[in-house]
Amino acid sequence: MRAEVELFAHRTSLLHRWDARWKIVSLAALTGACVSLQQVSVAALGAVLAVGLLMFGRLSARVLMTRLAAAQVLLLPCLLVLPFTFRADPWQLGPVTISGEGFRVAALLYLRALAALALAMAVVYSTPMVTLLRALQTLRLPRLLVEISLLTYRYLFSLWWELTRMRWALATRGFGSPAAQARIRPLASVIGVSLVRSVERTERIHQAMRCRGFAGRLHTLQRFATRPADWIKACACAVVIVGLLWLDRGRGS
Amino acid sequence: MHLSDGILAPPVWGAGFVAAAALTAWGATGLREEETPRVAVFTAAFFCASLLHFKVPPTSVHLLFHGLLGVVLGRRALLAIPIGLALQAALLGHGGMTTLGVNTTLFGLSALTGAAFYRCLGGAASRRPFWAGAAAAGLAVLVAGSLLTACLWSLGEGFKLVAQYALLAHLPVLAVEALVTGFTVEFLQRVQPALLTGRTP
Repeated sequence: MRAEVELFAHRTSLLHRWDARWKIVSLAALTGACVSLQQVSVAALGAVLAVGLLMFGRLSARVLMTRLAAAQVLLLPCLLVLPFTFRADPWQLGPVTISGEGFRVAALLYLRALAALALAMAVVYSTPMVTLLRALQTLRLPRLLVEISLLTYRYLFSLWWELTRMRWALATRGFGSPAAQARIRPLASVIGVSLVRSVERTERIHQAMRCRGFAGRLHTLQRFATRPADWIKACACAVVIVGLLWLDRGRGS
Repeated sequence: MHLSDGILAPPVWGAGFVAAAALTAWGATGLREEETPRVAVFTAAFFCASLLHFKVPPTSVHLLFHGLLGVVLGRRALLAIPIGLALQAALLGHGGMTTLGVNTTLFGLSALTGAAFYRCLGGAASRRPFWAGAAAAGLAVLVAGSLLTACLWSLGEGFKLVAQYALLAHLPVLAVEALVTGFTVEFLQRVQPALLTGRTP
């Protein structure tokens, strides 16, 4: 498994050049605003703006579409049910009754989720993970959580590689039986072996890191500096938030 | 299995963050420096579990592994779960950033229930590791599913069918999760029983 998110993290764009601390705070606030919208039209505007921002990041369209499509597979089935379960504002379409209210709620939930997903992707795909963690550390995320996240992100790939290698080994030796019972036991052994090996390796890595002076605090060569452009982007973000909320409340009353 | 962004009202996801922060703080109390690598490995395992898919006709389910986290890490699972969920949301798009608090609370409480059950078994757990592990994991999935259903149920009349569907969707997960965790616990009991005692070197 490659860190797909890291593939684009070193490009340059408006989004990439934005100081990570400002980017996290501004887009988190925008996400909060987007998921609290109550009007479908305003939520649609929020989703369009969020996806538009993502397009600014000079990311690969194919990768973005794959990620967005994967999220649709999870979201849509639940939302397709809603027009049939609500009662208010019924529309008769032949033999079936569809609730206008249910349709509205489903559209609202879908647009809010899309906006939140696009904004999260905008942050994650435009910032290297180490810079992201360092920024979160500067934003007062507890040191312990940053340290465990950093170690987890490091071990993720070695654990996944270990699992993949052993599943290949099983498959080449004829353990690929389609019966679930026959597959689950060897798989559980593979998981067990990977865990035992990883725990041992990890403890050695951690001891080595401590020998070299690691005391839990993440140090990087990255120096955060706020430039005027960061301020301007954050202010633009604040204007969008206030605008969305104002439109939302204004239409509602 | 994970609540997505946009479904819950701001006071609910806000309260979720408060509850998750309290749980995480409790999970971190008294943590020794040498425990962190193990927590990180099991967080990575929790993350990878969501990439392991099983075909259970007519659907396909992925593992959750919070039951195993509870059994191995005990209270420290509360540190692994928020990080695992945040990475899943960031790298895979499972769940969401605003619902991170609510999801952490659901998974954290259910992992603790599974862990408490496993510890209650005492000596029986080491004699019958498969059944103890399977029961703890099954219980953890059941509690997580019920809490998720309760969350959806509380959203109003129109969501009740979705809530029932969500509970039903947890049954194949429960079966696969119980089997895999049971066999994994049995394996660990044979190979490295020290991992299951919840104590670190």
